[in-house]
Amino acid sequence: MATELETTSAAGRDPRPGRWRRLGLGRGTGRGAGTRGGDGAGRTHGAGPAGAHGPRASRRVRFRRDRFLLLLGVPGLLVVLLFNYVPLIGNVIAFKDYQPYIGIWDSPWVGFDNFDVILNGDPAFVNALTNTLVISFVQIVVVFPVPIALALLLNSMLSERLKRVAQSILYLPHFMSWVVVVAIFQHMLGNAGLLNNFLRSHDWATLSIFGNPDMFLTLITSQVIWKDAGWGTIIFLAALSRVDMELYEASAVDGASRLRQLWHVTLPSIRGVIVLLLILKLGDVLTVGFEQILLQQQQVGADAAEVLDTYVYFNGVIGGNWGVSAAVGLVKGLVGVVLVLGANKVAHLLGERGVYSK
Amino acid sequence: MSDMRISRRRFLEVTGGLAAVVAAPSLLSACGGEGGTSPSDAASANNAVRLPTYTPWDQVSPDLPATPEGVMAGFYSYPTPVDAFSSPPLAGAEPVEILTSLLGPLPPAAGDNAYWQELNTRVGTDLNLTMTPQADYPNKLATVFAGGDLPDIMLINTTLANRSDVLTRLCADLTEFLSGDAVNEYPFLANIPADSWPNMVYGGGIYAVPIPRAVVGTIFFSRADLIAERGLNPEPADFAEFRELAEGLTDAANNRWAFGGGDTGNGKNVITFVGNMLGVPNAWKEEGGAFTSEHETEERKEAIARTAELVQAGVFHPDAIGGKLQERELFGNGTLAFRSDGYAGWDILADTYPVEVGAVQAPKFDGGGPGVVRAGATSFGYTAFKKADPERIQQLLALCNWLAAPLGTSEFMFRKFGIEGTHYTMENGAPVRTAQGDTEVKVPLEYVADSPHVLGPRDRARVDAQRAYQEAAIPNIVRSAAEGLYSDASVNKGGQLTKIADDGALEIIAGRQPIEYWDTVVDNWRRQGGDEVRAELEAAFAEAH
Repeated sequence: MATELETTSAAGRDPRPGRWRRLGLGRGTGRGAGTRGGDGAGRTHGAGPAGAHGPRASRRVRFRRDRFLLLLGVPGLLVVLLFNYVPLIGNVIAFKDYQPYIGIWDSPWVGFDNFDVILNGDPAFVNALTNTLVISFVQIVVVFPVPIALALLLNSMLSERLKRVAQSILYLPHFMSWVVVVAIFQHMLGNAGLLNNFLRSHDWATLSIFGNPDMFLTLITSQVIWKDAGWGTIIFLAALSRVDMELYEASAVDGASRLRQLWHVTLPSIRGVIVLLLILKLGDVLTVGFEQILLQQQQVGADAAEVLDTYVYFNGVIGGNWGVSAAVGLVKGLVGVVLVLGANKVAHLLGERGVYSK
Repeated sequence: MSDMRISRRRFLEVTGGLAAVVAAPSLLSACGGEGGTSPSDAASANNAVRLPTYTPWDQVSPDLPATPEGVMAGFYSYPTPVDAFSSPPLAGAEPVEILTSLLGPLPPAAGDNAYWQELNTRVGTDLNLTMTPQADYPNKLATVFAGGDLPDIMLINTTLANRSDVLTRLCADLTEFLSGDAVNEYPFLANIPADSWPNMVYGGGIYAVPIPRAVVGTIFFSRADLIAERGLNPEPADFAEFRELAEGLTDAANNRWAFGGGDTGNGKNVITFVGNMLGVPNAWKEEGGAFTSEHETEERKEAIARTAELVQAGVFHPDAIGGKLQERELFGNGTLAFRSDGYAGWDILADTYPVEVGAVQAPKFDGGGPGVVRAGATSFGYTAFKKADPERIQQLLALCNWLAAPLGTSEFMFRKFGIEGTHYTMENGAPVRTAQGDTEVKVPLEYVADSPHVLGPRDRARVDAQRAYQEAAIPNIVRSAAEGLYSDASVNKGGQLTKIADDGALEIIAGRQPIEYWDTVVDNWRRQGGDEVRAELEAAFAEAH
């Protein structure tokens, strides 16, 4: 859904008629067979009929024609500007020796001094960066595919009622706060939790899951999967529901097994959505769960559990080194932008649509 | 050049945050129009402040008088209360927003809380309290200051970064209202002992009201009933016997443990207690004008190593190290046999849970007499006010004055017990809480302002036990050599420095690092500000002697 909106608005704003026509044609012919592609193309045509019929109208004509729609868009635009773009100006404290009791304006400029921890590789920062990269790698490789697999499983359930029940149960953990999730895990698997108390009362060896730095990555990864995998299936299920049934019938006639259907029909049909979500995931890949990690950090120590977000929090909000924290946060944001643009580029090179169409 | 920039520069000189600025004070004084302020100048400005005159409120006489060494006065029974106020102190004032810490359970909100409603009536305006559990309070406070939307009254804790700048820039200067005899306007603030006031002075002014605490400080409480039940020795004579006692109280199969990790969850409770056996100095020790931090002593390293052994021996609760347990609760239900708590915890634990509370004195590590006792902080925290016009400040001070009414006044009885007949009934001359009182009278007013503590009034046995503990402990009290000396770096970086040391010790006792790692931690502690604090303390000491 988000893709289509992005596509239409991006295309609608494109002032170059030639480019526009190329896009329209490309969609119409290249992707005509695929349901999703076809639909996307149809919408693009709908939003800009001029593209399909001869040269594009002049800017003034288009403005007069769409002025009411544009007016409707103004409040949303203002909200985005006010809450997403104006605060960006605050990043200026990355270049200042800022303290809240002095104010942004009156804090003195210090140039790139605050970036010293990054450029000179302050050990605490490097440790936080390493942990962040490891955790984000695991989150992409292990956590990201789980909702896809889960969605395929749910999709293959025949009983509609059972499917609903399973979905509801899977969605539920998403609505719990991290405090609750961590408390539940602690009560079940903690060193004085249900499991270990049971083992201990039978004089069996206990399992050190909490407070064990070696298990930390496994622990937080399972928590993320438990909490959000169910919720993550929603978009994939929506995409799966739009796969053309005729394709399955056709492949069944050709004698394809279920596994081959999965490989040749289902997965290619939702490939666009998977790529899109993967790119969006890359954008906040360095944000690896601040609350979740903060809640459990003291048990395993900073060596295993300091990530960029907690580093920024302890150094800035608690330690009072606001400038350094802002610098680290800024770099983190820039890395996110580079990753999104890079991944999108790769997607385009591979013939995928990415976050926006080219 | 704006005034703000000038003051900013002066701030940098004071903290020494920018070496170049400190190195060129003459240049800056030309800019600022005032002489540069070095740390020792800040110290002498603070020394020049006239502290509030101490005028004790002596309308009641205790059964056991206080001693000059710091043993608290004791009461066996409740004196007949007198009304100290004839009208609500804040009648007609705007509601007061208060941010404070919460150590007990959360009270019902004002709408469902008859006690809170009556409190508002008696004060004369609405008190809107934001209560944050103690463990998270430092984070909450730092965030509130960062956000800039301050409440009227806030409790400031010692770990807040840049405390002196935050107080002097964002909080109200109370000097004209409290200095010298001006405090007589607020007789119950004048009743706060002089010891508690020096730490309220920053940048040459009084910026906070103390919540007074007695010198006896933290006590290592034990479940005397559990110790007796198992036939163990409640008074270990050396470390080996202490360890035996801890092992005797641990029963893993039944989820019984000797220790938790303390309120900070980093084992500091036990490290400090073992340190008392070894004679670790209280924060700083001084020899011939040279200062040594407790972290730099061999004894502290030894205490950490011995505590790590105790962790290895399995006498700690399995989730103690790094976790934040509800220790009072676990002490009450027998899961933990020891708990390190402020001296006021004695009554809280003994009143809340049906258990027998004992107190363990640290023996010398190798036996042969008692170990040391660290003198407690003279104030729980700093109650500061948001900047406001003088009239409002006077109202807020009047509120603190009302909240500091001591034992012997009807205001004290209401504050601690609520409304007679609803929240408590008098039985044999002592108030007994009703069920409603148990839930409703939990508004943490004692962390806004309070009267100086006394022992009791409780039954004679409890008061005598508490008194006996203090009489035995006070002769072994060690104070910090830094007491009375002002160090800006200590005030502003204290929280960060404490975190460095505590996190380092935690790594070791959790078994993630060997004891040699402590040397690295101390080096880091020195670099991050420890040496700076030392230099300032030595300079202040040289000036005073």
